Amino acid sequence: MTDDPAALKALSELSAQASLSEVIRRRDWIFDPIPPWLNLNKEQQARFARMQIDFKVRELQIQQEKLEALGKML
Amino acid sequence: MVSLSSQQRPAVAMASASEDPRVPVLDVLLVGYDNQENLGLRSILAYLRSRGCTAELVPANGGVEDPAVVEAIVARPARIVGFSIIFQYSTSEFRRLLARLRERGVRSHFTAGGHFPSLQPEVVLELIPDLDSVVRYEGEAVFLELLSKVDQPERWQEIGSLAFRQAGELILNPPRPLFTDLDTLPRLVRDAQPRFTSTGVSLASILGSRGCPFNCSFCTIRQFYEAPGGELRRLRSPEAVVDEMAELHRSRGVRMFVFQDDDFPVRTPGNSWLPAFHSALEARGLVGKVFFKISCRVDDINARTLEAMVKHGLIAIYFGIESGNPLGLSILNKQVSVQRNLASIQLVKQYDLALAAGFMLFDPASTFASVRENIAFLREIGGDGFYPVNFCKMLPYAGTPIERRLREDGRLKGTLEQPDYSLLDPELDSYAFIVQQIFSQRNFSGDGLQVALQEANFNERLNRAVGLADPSVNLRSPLTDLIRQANQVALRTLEDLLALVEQQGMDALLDNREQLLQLSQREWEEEARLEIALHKLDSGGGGNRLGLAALYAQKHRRELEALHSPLMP
Repeated sequence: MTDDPAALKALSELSAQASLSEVIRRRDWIFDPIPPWLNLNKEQQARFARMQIDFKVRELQIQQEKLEALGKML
Repeated sequence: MVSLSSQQRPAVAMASASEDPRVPVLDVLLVGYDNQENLGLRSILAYLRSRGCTAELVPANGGVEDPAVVEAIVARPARIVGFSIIFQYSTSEFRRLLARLRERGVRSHFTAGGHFPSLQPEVVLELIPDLDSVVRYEGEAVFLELLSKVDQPERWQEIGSLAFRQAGELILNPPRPLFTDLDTLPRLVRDAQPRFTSTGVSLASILGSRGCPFNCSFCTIRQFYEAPGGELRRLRSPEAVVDEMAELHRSRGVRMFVFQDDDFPVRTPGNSWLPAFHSALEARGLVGKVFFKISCRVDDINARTLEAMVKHGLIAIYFGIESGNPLGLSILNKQVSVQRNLASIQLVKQYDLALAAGFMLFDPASTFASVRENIAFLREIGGDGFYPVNFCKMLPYAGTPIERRLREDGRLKGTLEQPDYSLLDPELDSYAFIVQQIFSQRNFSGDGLQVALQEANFNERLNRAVGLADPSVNLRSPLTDLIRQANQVALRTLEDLLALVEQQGMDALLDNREQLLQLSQREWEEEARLEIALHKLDSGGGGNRLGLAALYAQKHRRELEALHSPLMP
């Protein structure tokens, strides 16, 4: 689980369905560390973290849909 | 060279972890990734055994922290345990593995080898405190001598190419000379059972040479072989290589040989190696029976050499293309032009080989313009679906010229294990970071779309070559179409994202994440659609037509586990 305050704040604001946010919470790989040499301030870091969460929510939703489609083929 | 008969070998003094006197203590246990046959470890194994030593291999294909690896090492007490650290970024895993082994009572001498330990032994010894030494450069003879003196630390300074700590001081012994004649080395140790491709063709990895005479700035190969002196690339004789191929074909039915050479000897002094290799294949009657894949530079080949290789069984080729713009090729010191890259790929297309290519979308000289050139280059070579394009950011490996330069310029970032660097434009850094977010699954997962397409593309060629493919079924056209679509989608995503970042800047984009989300969503939806289509193509007929059944079964299991039950209907 991440301990990045910006990411945790973004997670708390997550409006995705509860089960999906729970999946995300369990995964510490969800956040690729933002390279420090981007020299982001706290606000920018938080926005990057929110973007990463948005990405992962959508990626997981697509993955779920794909597995359902493949499940019908198998 | 030190030779040690079994009589000369010192009595086994090392207490075993299990302390079970019934378990014989090995001389050497080697541990490392072995997915494609770890030829380095297997050569050391063969060398030690040929000198009367007992040596075994623990493959760590499931990762070095796999509990099975720990148990295998604990169960096979050895005087020396050698760890093959191929990837710099896996150093932490080895640190934890060694610590766990010590906790379990393993008191063997721990040593490590590979490019990273060889080039930066002081860093590796610091990062992995349970290591007793580092075997630098070519390991065969170093291991043998270390074995004879392992219980006499006062004599370790006599062992060429060994690095170790003594009384808190780092000792780097002078490098020992490399073998001048590779033909004197014993044949590699192979597993009892042959290996097979995912469509059931027996295959083996093999080497025709060691080293590379070129000096790409991001590559460790030259540094690895240059320090001990001697030839930068040493060749086995073509006859010895083909003898080994013939033996593997006869005894194990091997039909596919994957040459793991750093730079396959297409171009050699006098250009005599390749014709002799072909002549030997003809003399052994192997032409048409066995096939091979090589890795080489784009400027190694020409129409004449490629035609000759194809005639003698070449079906797949790996090029380290690395860049599609002059700035990138220059900083990477590739010593080739964009035009040469294009011409060689065109040749490969003419001969319809399965192509795989390394490509660095980002390098230390990258600008928005050069990245745009790279994308256009990828479109030119991959827009027709001939091969699945892949791309990454150049990493500054330890001991390379580019790492040194980045350090001098104050641009080297990251950690010792995971070095990185800042690009010249901070906005481009942000772009690179988002590219990594969008494409990490596609490009870098062992079962991502790129790997699946690559595997299918290779198997399609190999199946046709060995007569496994149903001649009435054309898989090539639909597969090429899927690859074309996958390439086009990815390149469009790269382009669209580049334009967004360049026009709006990251700050504005992060204010309005919807644009970024739509773009990434389009990419992932297309990838999912293509993956389903690829799965259908593979599973038609009798199934596994492109060798993807096992890959997909494993992938689906993993993804289902990852998504976990709350999400499933």
